[in-house]
Amino acid sequence: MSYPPPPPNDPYSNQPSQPYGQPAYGQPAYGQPATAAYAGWGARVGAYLVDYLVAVPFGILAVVLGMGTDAATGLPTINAFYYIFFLLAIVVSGYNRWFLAGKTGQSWGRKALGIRLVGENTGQPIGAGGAFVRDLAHILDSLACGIGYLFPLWDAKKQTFADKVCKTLVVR
Amino acid sequence: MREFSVPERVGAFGALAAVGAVVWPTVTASTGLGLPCPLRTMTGVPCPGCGLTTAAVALVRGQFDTALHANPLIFGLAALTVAAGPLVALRAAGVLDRPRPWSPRQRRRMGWIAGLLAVASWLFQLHRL
Repeated sequence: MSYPPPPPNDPYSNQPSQPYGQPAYGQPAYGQPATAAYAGWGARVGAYLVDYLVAVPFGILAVVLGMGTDAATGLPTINAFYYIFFLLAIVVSGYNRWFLAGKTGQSWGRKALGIRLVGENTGQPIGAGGAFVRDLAHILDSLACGIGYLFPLWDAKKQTFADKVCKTLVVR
Repeated sequence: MREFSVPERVGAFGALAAVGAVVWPTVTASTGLGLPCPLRTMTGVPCPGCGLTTAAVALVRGQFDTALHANPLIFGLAALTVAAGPLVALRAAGVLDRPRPWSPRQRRRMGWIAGLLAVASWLFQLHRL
């Protein structure tokens, strides 16, 4: 990984406390606004929770309206409402996390937390297909006991493992 | 607000994990849910992170022995969690300097150390198997 050389007008570049020309944490960088703009892990978890909570009411309705108990055997039964509401949950989540997030970079959760999903090379939203594939790649994050989801805690670009595979960034 | 450094962030995550470890047993007791390891479920081979839930729950209950046997890595997370609070406070008070980003070389070295720790943890889990 290579870091861009400090711009010539960077007043920090010659100070011994900044040996690599990088800005200190939290200080605005001259000529490198992108380095300070990666979204934090907390904001990303918050956005994910919002997106998750959007789908929860449908799941509750599916279980409450769609499930009953067989009078004769006492075993749980499911009716059409169960499938209808779970399908609705998938449709709403798909619209939110794939169509909306792919088109604008912001699902409802990301909008609420003020963060955006963009391509690493383009800086633009990644499209509905890209957002769908990225959510599939989240499976890789969960494989090793969820370690992939923790990558943004220490990664220089605050990418999850899925972000690295899909070459995506979440920015403020 | 300034950007937090990596140890501070991991420490904050550890604090969240500690809260989770207090709440989690009540969830499992009432619902019978568990946190299955995908790798172990599919292949039967434990992963380096196996035992961390058990270890976290044991540690917040003060059962150091159980935690050590489940996964010793939890003590590393616990150390960062305990250190993060004073670290943030001392930096906010100006006693300590603001954190500086590491050089690529330091990052690579830390990556190797983390990788070796993961391998060591994996060997430990395989031995437990």
